[in-house]
Amino acid sequence: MNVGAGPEVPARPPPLSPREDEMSMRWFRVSRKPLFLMGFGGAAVLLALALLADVALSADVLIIVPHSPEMVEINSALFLPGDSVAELYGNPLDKPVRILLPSADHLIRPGEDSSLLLLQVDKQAGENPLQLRTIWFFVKPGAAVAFLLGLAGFLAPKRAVVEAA
Amino acid sequence: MVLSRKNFAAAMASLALITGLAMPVQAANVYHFGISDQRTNITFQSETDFETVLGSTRKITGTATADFDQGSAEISVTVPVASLQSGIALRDEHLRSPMWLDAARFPEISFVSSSSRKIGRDRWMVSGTFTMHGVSRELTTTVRVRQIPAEMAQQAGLEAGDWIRVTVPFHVKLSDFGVKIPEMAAAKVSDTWEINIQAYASTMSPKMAMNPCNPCGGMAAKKASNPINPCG
Repeated sequence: MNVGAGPEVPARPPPLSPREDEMSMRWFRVSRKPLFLMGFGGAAVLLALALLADVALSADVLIIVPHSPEMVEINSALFLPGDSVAELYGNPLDKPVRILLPSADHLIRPGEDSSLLLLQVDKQAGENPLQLRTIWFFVKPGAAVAFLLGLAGFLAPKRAVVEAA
Repeated sequence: MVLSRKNFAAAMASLALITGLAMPVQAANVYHFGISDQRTNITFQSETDFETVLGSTRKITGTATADFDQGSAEISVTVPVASLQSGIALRDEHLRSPMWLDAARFPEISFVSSSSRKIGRDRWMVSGTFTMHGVSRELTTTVRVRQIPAEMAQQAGLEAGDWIRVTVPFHVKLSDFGVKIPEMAAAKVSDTWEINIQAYASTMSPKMAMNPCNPCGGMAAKKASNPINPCG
């Protein structure tokens, strides 16, 4: 049986010298705290800020791209019961959107239907208010990455200590 | 040439037919869109994973010919792609680029009706050809049309002439028009645009409307700041 032509076995890396081993363990010990804090702390802060922004600083509004003031005047003069109230002031989105800190002077509570809260967003003027969905879109993966970092900071030193023992 | 009784009857029948056919044309009004940007609002809405994208333009040109008694209408409108604005300059650049609507090659989005019928007090079912990105497809949608006779128009603050207000919600699928969403964005951006149009159109032509000497109350005549305006 020819055993000489088998696949090459990769050489094992040389074992760490006692000095390298000590440095590696020191790195784990030194990095444990920042990793743990940055990870779990970062995730918690990110989620808390997003939650705060969502609950305390945002509002559900029906965004409209506003008509010109004279068009609103004309629409008001032609308004009939049964007409869409939002369309009186602008072209509305098909559903409300949660907006962070909607500008008070852009909000309209129409006299014709006070249950509506319209937010004027003039695209011709380059307006683009921050939607809560955008915040959560970035916060969720950000918090997940931070959590994993925290987990690494929590687990890595223990393993290093076990290996050292 | 002597007209025989038979020929005379045929001539009368033809005249009646011609007159009958001509009547609705006489009753139809031609309304002009785009008299002022202040009378137009066109928006598009698109969903992404991280936000609802909204854009708009106030530019439209074209006409609608409507006979409200007969319930027939024709419409032909054009919107320049370069005028679409989404609130972020970089995004607008992408929108006009060859990756999306390619405004350089296909500068206009247009709709030309082929049939229409009145289906309610102010509702019409309109079918026609919608062209975007160089691709034309049939489109049928419900159009709300508010008829505004001259007297009512002036009371409402509009200029002279008969007016209509047209409100149209419809949606288009970008892939139907050869717009391929870039692969990097494919998972994030919806293929469908919801489009909303509210626009006023007048029997007064845009040329007449902007003429400062228009004796019937053109928009330019309203600008009192013009010291030589004889209408002011």
